[in-house]
Amino acid sequence: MKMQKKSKMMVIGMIGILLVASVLMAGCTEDDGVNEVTVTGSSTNLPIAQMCAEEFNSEHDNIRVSVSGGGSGYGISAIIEGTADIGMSSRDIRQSERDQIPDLVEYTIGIDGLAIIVSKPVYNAGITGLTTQQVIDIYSGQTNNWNEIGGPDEDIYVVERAETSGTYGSFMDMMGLEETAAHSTQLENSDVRRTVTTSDYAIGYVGMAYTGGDAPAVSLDGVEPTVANVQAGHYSLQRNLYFYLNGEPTGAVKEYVDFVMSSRGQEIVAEVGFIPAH
Amino acid sequence: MNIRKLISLWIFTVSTVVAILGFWALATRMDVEYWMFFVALTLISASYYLSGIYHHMTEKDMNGVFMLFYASIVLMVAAFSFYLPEILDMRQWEINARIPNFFFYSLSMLFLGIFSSYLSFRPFYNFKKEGAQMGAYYMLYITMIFTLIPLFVILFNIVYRGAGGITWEFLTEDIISMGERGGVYPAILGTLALILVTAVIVLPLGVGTAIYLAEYARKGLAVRVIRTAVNILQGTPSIVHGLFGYAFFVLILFDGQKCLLAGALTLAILTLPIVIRSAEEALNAVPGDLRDASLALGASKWQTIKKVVLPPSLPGILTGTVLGLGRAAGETAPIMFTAVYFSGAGTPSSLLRPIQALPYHLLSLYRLIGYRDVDLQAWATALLLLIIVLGVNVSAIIIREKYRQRF
Amino acid sequence: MISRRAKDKMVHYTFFGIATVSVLIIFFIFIFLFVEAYPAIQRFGSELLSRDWNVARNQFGLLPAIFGSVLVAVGALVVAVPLGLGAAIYLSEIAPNRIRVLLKPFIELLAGIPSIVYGFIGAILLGRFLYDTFGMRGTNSFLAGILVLGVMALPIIVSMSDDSLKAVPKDLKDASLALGATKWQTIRKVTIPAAISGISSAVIMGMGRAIGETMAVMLIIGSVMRIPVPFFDIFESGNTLTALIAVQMGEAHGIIINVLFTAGIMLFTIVAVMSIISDILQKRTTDKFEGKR
Repeated sequence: MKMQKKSKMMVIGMIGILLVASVLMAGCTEDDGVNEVTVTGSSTNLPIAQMCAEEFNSEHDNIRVSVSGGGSGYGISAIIEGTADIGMSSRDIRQSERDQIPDLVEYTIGIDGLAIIVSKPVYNAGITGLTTQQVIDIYSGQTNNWNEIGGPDEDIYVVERAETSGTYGSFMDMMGLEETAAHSTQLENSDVRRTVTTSDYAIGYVGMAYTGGDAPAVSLDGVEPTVANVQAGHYSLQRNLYFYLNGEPTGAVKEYVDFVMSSRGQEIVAEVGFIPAH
Repeated sequence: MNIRKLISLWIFTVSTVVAILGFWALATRMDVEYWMFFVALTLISASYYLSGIYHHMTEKDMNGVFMLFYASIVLMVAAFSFYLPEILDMRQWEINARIPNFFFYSLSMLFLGIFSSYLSFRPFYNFKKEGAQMGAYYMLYITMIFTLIPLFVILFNIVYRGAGGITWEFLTEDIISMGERGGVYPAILGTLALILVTAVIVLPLGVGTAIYLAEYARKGLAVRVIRTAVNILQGTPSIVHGLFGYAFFVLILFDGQKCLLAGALTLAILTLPIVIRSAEEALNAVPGDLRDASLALGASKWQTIKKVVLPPSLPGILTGTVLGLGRAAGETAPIMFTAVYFSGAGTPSSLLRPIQALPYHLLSLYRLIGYRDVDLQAWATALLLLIIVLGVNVSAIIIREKYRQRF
Repeated sequence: MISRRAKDKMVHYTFFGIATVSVLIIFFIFIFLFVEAYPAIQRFGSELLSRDWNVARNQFGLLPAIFGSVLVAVGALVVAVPLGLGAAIYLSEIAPNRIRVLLKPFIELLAGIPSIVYGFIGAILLGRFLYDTFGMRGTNSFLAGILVLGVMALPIIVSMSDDSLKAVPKDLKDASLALGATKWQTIRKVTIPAAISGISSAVIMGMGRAIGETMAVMLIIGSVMRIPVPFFDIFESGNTLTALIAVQMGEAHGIIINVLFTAGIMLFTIVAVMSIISDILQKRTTDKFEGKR
């Protein structure tokens, strides 16, 4: 008898929870006047979009900007499929992609130098600069040991980005490579950085903002990847960072894009380690 | 206590100490010198020589010879290890490893230590069958301990490293400065909303299906096919659910919008087989006699199900459902491309808006480690996620234990 | 007032409807997967089973990922089965009840730890540890994946094997003991053989989990589409089908998503075969003892 009472209570409790939940759900679907702006794509652009969004959100009660990474390819395909309002990309859009977006709108939100980083022990052993040819040799698998280019007698651990990333695309284009002999493929800039820093004899490439500390950037053909060098155009591995949209932005999306392009937004670009677009 | 037992006890003690030292050295990557290794193994070997000679003197059977043989093998391992190079460069055979000799030292200390203590039960029981039994039991204890060790290491690390990060701010604030400060408040709510909506979808569907399968359906080919399909769906990797959820719910159903509902639907499909199976099991556990008795008293089928079958099987159904939801709460792959954003989504306000969720938050923070100072936040998120998921599971186990009914 | 009979009928049809919806959903998923995979299968055919993967050149050979999935799952079993079986036998046959009621729920709880947590810990703590211990080139490796998956499969193997060992009827064991066998002989010669189908089904479930695991593997295996040379070099990094899908799903348009669906189908088929075998084994166990109880 007691058991039955308990069971009954449980049934009532369950039904109660379901009812409350459904009421909540029904209430949720009503429009509360908040405008959603979704931004997705390149992890290189992510710090810019994210830090801008945090400041922007705190200033606007009726607009909410959501940001997530995934890679430039994902950002652009999000525009094609319409899964996001803004697609971030750290490479130029390809013609095949452009064809699928009739009203493509492009904003250059910043400029980035693509930095080659090496593990601390390699850097300390004297590899503080590489030539473009050396980088190509390393990534195509012709140079396998650091001692071939004057470093310690250790195998090179080559880290690259996944094919979906714009940084990968830019790097391969600029180096004229079609495939690599990499030992590790990482999804995001910070993944590459961590893989390089946790190994002792690794090399990788990341957006400028991700260098420093345990992940020293080496100079390329004698030019350091610094803000000044990229701004002056001396550093050869540089690319634009884009916001891509399908059609001219309106409403909340426009407000957010305007904020990123405003002088305050461009200050944030510099704060997180990139070069402002203007 | 005779001499035989004393010697065996001595072997056991020495071997266990060596094994523990070996394990410790392995875990802390201690640079074990050759002489330490040699002394440890020689000690074991000498003990076995002693035991073997004593056994031979008293019993004069082959067992003493066997022990001497084993002692010689241990001694030979110790001696020949002298020729191990400082670092065994396996890259000469194109294998990507350079294994230092102390790794071999500590590893063989661990294994030879365990094996020697295992063997020591034989002389202790004078090679009777109790010796084999106690030895086997001892090995089983060891496997149990080694099963628990990694699990304790995981729990300890999460609690130890994450506890400091769980502050009031962490629990009540949104992300600030890419997760360096602030917290996970929207992610907690997002995860809870996800579980709740999933439950609302999956409960009626799963339990209803189970009732039909257990109470109404005639046992035949169709039911067997359905059951197999349910089992296959249960085994399907969660990333495949994520792929399906993205391609169908997000792209086709919701016109490209990642949202709470798309994530919940994906998770509902993930948990559906778990709910169906556990509910069906619980219903089948109710003896047929009870149903027959109720029907014989003139109750209708539905009355019988409602009043006789459901009440005792309810705890089982609930346990299964809650376990399924616990799994859903911790999943990343199915929601990664269907429902979540790293930031900005805020507290969940609509079914058709994206959310933030703890598992994805952990993934995103992990990605930022090294670039931003988010280590503490990442560990704290892991701890919080663990608390929520394990909390859900504990409540399921409590339901099961509390309302367990036997027939 | 509706008659009782009519009401009964209505309820019957309601449940029938619900069940139909569930079943339709399940079969819809299966069909959807195949439909989405078809364009890739049609276009690339057996090329999908080659070892060349290069998105830029439209080469989509999945063999490295298939190999990785199998290698990691088998490796995980090598780690988990001896430990898990030993622990299960200990729990079901030897442990005093006090310890059993403590350990069993604990181990079941551990099966619930989210895979992202395993991956996080594995990547942060295990990667560097193995790198230092084995002098590897980088922190990503099959070995790390094998160890993490082995630990993840442990609770399942322990818990399920324990259940099937417990299901062996007491009469069988008593008969053996009455004939003068020791407890250990009984376990070895009677209990384990009687429970062997249940134990194998536990092992298969553990392997299923290892093959289907995504997040943990993705973070530590290195995601390189290459079969290591020699193939047993577990210190190299590689890829699995699951990690491939998770990493590439970003480029979610064009033919590549169909290729990923093909990878999904492969996973799905492997798991389906294993789950059917496991079911048959489990059914054999129940059939074996049902009559004797």
